[in-house]
Amino acid sequence: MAQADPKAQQALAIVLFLSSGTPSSERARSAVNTAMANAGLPDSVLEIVDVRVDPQRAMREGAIVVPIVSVTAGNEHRWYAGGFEDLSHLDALFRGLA
Amino acid sequence: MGARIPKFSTGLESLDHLTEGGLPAGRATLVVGAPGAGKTVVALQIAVAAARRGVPGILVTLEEGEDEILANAASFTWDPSDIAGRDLMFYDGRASIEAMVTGDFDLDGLIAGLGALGESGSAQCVVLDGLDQLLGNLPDLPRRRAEMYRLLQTLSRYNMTTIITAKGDDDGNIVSSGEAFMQFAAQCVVALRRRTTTGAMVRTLQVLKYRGSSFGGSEVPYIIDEDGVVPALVGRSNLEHHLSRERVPTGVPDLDAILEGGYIRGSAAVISGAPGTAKTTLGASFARAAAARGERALYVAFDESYGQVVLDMQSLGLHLNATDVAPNITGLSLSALGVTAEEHYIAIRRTLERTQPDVVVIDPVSALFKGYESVRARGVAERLVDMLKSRGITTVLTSLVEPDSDFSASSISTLADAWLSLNYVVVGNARGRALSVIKARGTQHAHEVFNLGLSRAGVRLSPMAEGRPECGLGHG
Repeated sequence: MAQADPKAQQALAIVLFLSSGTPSSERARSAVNTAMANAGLPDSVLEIVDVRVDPQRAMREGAIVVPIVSVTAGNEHRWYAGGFEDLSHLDALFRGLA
Repeated sequence: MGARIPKFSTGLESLDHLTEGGLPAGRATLVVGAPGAGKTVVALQIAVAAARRGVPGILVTLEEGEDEILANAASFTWDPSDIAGRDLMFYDGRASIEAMVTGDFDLDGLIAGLGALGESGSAQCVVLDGLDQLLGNLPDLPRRRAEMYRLLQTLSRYNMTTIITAKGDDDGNIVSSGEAFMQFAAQCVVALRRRTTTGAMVRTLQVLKYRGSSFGGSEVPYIIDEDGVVPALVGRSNLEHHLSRERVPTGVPDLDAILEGGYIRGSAAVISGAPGTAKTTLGASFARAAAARGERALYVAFDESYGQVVLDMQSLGLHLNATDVAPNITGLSLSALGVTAEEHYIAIRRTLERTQPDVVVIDPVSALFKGYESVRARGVAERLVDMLKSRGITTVLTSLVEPDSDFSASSISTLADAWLSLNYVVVGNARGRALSVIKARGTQHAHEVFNLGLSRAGVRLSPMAEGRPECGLGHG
C-alpha cells in the first residue's frame, strides 16, 4: 500500500454526509473507507456527519442530499453525491489525492 | 368551502383574493413559470412579507446563491437585506445540484435540516427555489415522486407553509413531463405565464388548483417593477358601486344645466370625439372645477405630458397650475408606446391609492387600445372603470375616435353612466363643434345637439337651432 505525502494530506479534508442505516449511505461509508485505505489516506482526514444527528451542519454546508462527499484538497473543492456503487471512480479519486 | 382550511396570506392583494385568503397554511404550493417569469421574486416576496409580520422563513436556493438573490432583491421596495440571516434564512443547496453523481442518493439532508427547523419553530415558511432541478438528479420517476412526498410529509408534519418553484414553459406548464407529478403533490398550483404581444411582454398568473378550497380561476396580468411582482387587482364581480344622487359640476355651467347639475357622484362619463373636438378641454374643466372646490383630482394624460395639457389649457383661461387649484390636482403622464394596458392599469391604481382623489380624468382612455389586443384592452378598461366606481370616484374618460367610428367609446359605454359625443359640424364654409348627450343614467337630459364654443371665457354650449356653429380656439 502506498504511503501518502503528509504535506499534501495537511490540506486534504474529506467530509462524508450520510444518513446512518440507509442502504446508499452505508454503501457510501464502506466505499469511502475502502478507497481511503487503498489510497493510504489516514482516517484523520475523514469526518463523517450524520445529517439526522447534526442537520444544521448539513444544511449550512449545502449537503441536502445524502450520501454526499465533500472533498477539499488545497484550494480545490468538489462534491460527489451517491452511494459509489462503482468503487473504481472513488479509488481513482483518492489515489490522486494521496 | 374556502373557510375550512387555514390560509397563509401572500401579501399580494390579488393573489390573496384569487386564493380566497392566501396559500394553504402548513401545506405546499407549487409556482410554475418560464425563466424570467418571476418565480423566485414572487416566492421571495411572499416569504419576506411573512417574515415582516413575524413568521420566520427559510429560502433554500438551488439555482442562485444568497448573494445573487439578495443583490437582485435590493432594488425592490421590500429589500430583504435587513432580515436576511435573521427572520429569513438562506441555505445554499447548489452543491447538491453541482455534485458529480456516483449512484443512488436521497433528500435526507434537506428533510432532516428542514425538520429540525420546523420542530424548533425557527422556520414556519419554506421556499424551495428550483426543487425540480434537484429532483431531476434522481435516477427515475418513482424515486423522484417518493422523495417529493417524503419531503412534503415532513414539512406538513411541522405545519410549515411551503412554496416550491419549478421551471415551466411560457404557458406555465412544467417543462419536463417527468416532473408533472409535482403538480399532483402540491395542494395549490399557481402558473406564471408570459407572452409577447405587439412588442410588449404580457405576464399573467393563474391559480390552476387548490385542493380543499374554492378559488378564482381568472388569469390575472402582473408586472414586475420596484414593488416586485404586482398583479392587477382582480375585477369585482359583484359590481359594488357607490350609489348617489349628488351632482358633481362638470366645470362647464352650460353642461351642468343640460345634466341637471353635473355628473352623478361616483359615476363614470365617457366623452368621445375626433381630434380637436374639445375632449381634453371638457376633461380639464372638470378637474379644475373639482380642485377649485377643494376636492382632489387626478388627471391621467396619455401620449402627451400633463404639463403640456396645462400649457394648452391656459389659452382657454383654464389655469390648472393656478395656486388655488394646483395643489389639489395630481398629473400622471403615461406613454402608450410599448406598454401594455395592464401596466397602465397598475400605474393608475397605485396613483389612486397614493393620492385618494375624488375625481379622475383619463385622457384618452382609448390609448389603452393603442397597438394592443382590443379584447384584452377592453377588459382592462372595464376593470379600470369598475375600480373607479367601486371607490366612489367620479370619472371622466375621454375617448379618441376617428370620424364615423365610435369603437373605443362604445366598447366601454356599458359601464359608463353618461356618454357625451363630440363632433364636427359644418354649416356653410364654417366648421365648428357639437355636443350631444347619448346617454346619462338618472338624468332627464336633452336629446338635441348643441353648439360647443371655445373662447378665453371657457366652454359655452348653445342650442344648434340658434344659428351657425361657433368656431373658436382649436383645442382637443
